[in-house]
Amino acid sequence: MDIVILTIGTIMVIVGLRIFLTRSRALKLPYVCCLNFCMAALIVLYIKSPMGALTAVVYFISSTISSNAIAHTIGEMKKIEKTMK
Amino acid sequence: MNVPYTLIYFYGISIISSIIIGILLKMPLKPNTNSFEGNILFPTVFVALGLTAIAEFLFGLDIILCVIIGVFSALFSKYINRIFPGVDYGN
Amino acid sequence: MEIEVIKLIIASIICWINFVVVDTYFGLPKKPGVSGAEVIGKKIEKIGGNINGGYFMGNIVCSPDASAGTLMAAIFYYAMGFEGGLIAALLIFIGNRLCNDPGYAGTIGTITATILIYLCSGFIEPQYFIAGMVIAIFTIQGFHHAYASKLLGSIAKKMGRI
Repeated sequence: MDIVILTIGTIMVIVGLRIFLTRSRALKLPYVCCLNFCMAALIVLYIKSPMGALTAVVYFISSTISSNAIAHTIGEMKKIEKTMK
Repeated sequence: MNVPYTLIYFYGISIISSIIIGILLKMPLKPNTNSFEGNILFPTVFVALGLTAIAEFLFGLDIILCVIIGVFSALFSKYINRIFPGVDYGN
Repeated sequence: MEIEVIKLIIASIICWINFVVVDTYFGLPKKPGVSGAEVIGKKIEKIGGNINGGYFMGNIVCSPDASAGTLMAAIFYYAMGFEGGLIAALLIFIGNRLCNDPGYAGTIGTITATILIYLCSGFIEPQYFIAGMVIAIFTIQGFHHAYASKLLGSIAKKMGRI
């Protein structure tokens, strides 16, 4: 086992556990962002080719877009809850 | 480190042609980090570098291809605000 | 074994300094880019952190900034060599525009990271930079939110970018 893959795997397990342990929905998003970094790194470490790098960057940008949409939705929900009160 | 000088020459051609076309298209000179409009340095040079790297990986480089890439990247950054506008989230 | 650990630590320190300096210089701690980043910043302030560091972390979550740029530069350098870093800058610029961001921080962070990896290529291989960037983002986003946001806020205050 390579030390690079071992480090990334260890960080992935720690962050995955912390996603389950966190109660706040907004504070889960930084952990999910960290998990996406680990996923993109593992994709290119297993597929060492230009297509693997392209897969990693497409995965990372699309996951960031979905994080962006989720965070924006949480912000809008807070505004709606304030006006309902 | 052995530096490949011919490659630097081709990348330089595409950057310089993109900047010249950008001046001819009257793009703004000063960078403004808050606006989405392209200016003469910011997306132009980086788009030219990226496209030249893709062309080198796919076809290999020559002078005419580099000039075409420079013209294309200047046009792309002139109309960058129409191609990729700021997202407005429907409100 | 020991030499690999030393390479990993040096690579993670280089990545950390690169992305924090570039992101702070282009004003990520100053204001939230989208409303979701504002929610994350307020929440981090509520658990005992700094509001500017919270905006920084929220902006990293909501858009591929210099942190993503450093990782993508390492990935493309690992797969394709120096030209890969330039392709990564173009792709990160498109990703920034899709996430409602002008794109200065991501693109310039990718180029500086590519240059740093090229300068270090004699003694640190690019796969150590991939793992180093994962460690660097773990210290910011995954270890302790309140302490990390205080550290980022004090760095932003020292650079005069709030």
